[in-house]
Amino acid sequence: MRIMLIDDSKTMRNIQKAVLLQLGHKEVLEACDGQDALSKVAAFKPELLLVDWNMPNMDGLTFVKTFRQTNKTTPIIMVTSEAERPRVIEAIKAGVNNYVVKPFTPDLLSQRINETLTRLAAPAAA
Amino acid sequence: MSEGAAPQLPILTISPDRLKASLRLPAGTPPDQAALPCLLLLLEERGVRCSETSRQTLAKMAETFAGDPSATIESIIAEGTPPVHGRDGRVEFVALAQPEVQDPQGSGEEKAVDHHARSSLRIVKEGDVFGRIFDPTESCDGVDVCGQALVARTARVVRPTIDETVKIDKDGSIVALRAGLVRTGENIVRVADELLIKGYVDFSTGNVDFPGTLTINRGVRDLFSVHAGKALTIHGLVEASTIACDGDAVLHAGMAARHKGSLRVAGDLNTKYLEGTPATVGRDATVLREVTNSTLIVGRKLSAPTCSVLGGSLKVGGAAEVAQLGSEGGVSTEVVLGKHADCERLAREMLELYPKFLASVQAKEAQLATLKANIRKLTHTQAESLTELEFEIAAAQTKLNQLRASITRVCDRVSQVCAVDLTVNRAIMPGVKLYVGAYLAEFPKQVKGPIRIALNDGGVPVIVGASEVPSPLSSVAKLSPVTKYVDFAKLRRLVAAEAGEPADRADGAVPLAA
Repeated sequence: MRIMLIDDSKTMRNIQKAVLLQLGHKEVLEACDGQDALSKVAAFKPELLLVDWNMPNMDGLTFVKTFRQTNKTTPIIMVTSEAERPRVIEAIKAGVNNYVVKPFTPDLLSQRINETLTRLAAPAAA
Repeated sequence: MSEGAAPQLPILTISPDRLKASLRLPAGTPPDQAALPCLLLLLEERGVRCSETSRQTLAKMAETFAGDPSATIESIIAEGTPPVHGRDGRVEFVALAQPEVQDPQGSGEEKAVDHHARSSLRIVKEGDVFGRIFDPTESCDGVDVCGQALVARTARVVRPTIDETVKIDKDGSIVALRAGLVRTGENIVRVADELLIKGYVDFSTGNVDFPGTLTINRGVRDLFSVHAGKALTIHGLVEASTIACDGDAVLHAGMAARHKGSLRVAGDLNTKYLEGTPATVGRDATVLREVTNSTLIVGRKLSAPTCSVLGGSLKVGGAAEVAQLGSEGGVSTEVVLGKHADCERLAREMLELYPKFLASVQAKEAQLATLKANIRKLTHTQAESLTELEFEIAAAQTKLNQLRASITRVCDRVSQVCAVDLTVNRAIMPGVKLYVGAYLAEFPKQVKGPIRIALNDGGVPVIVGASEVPSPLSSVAKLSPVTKYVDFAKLRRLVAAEAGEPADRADGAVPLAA
């Protein structure tokens, strides 16, 4: 599965990448902000995106809104420290499928990824 | 030309191989005989094929001779084409690898080579290309000066017979499909899994490193090394040499290494005796006569009911039966029961790591707890730092869990293979130091056999004599506690308690990873 990691922190990308590797996902592309991600999605055609909210150049929410204009189906997990309820609702309205609040444990991230993929696979299987 | 002398005539000579024809016009040859038509006629008479080149050569000779009839002239006037014989196909084997010449001084003058390492045996590994088949070259007929064919010899094809141990690639490479000894002869090439050395391992054979089953009909000389990938049988005496065997070994005449050689057997060992030999046996050992001044480590059982162990040390993982321990002279003899050298080493390494790993996890957890307690509302950066810390804790915890699992496996392995069970048929002599359980037993005087020494349920050494009633070993030996060996029961309890598990695992023994 092709997965794109969008986060301005290299450390956070490494952490998330390690979890993905542990889950068996090896095809991972990194982007350091929303703009960088937009320039890469067309070629990479990700099947899942993990997006941070606070990033320079283009934040995660703007990226999600822009991405959703052309792609309605690819699942997006917002990985962010924005934990307040209105912010979460805003993100979901923009087209985010799941939400992970920082700080998080490896287990929690794994759980959210699996949850998202299972949820999206269920209607397709049905 | 002198008056009355016989007139000279042109002489046409054909070489014995019929590849050259030469013409000689002696001085005094009558001009008409040296004229071109006559010379052409001469060639025709002799059947020599006259090419344009021959004709030009003859014309030049005739002209030269006409200019000076007093001079003898000679020239090759026709040449044939030699036949090209085919070269027979052949098999060429790769030269045996020999030890490289070393130059310890770097001067380029004095060079030394280890002649022990020079081997006369062609031993290959699987996949080795050890020879090549060359196809015969094509032949081509020749033509002699008369235009007759000179027939070339047709070359023979050489194609040796092979079996399933060898393959021949398209380019003629001969490849070993298994490790072993290359055997050739009677047009057969194969790789044998067994090697029989009829005499000694000495300078005639060099060191032997054989991947299969090795039999040596005589002995092994000083300072040579022998390695067998499978079973090893040596009928003669093994001197101060290095012997290694990945399977079972039988030394019919024993080994006297004189503290210069060594013996390592991964499987079972059966030997007549060992003298001055550091020996390690992976599984069971059987000794017929005696073990003197040797360091013998046996992974499992030692069966030596008629054997005396004098001097040196004996470490046995499982049950042991011997005739006698020590000598009447009180020679220092150390015997360690129920200890597995590899497990001991592994346990020590892991015991060293365990507190470090544990402290690392605990320190990070404490750090995380402090941060969480002190920060009310997290900033973006703080949230990321805490995530990083969570991941570090998870990684450290994984390592710690792996280490715990390894420790448990080693403990399980020890409980599977190690046992304190010593039977002495004749006597234990003074000077014997017996490590049994968590104790060192020293014998001030001789203890007559048959006796059996084991541990009771409380881990205390007991001795059973002819009466078959166990009594404390302290009744015949001075016992003192020792801490030099790992207490695996304690280790298991420690790890289980810290992991929050019961010490006695319900899932039974876990085999030790290779």
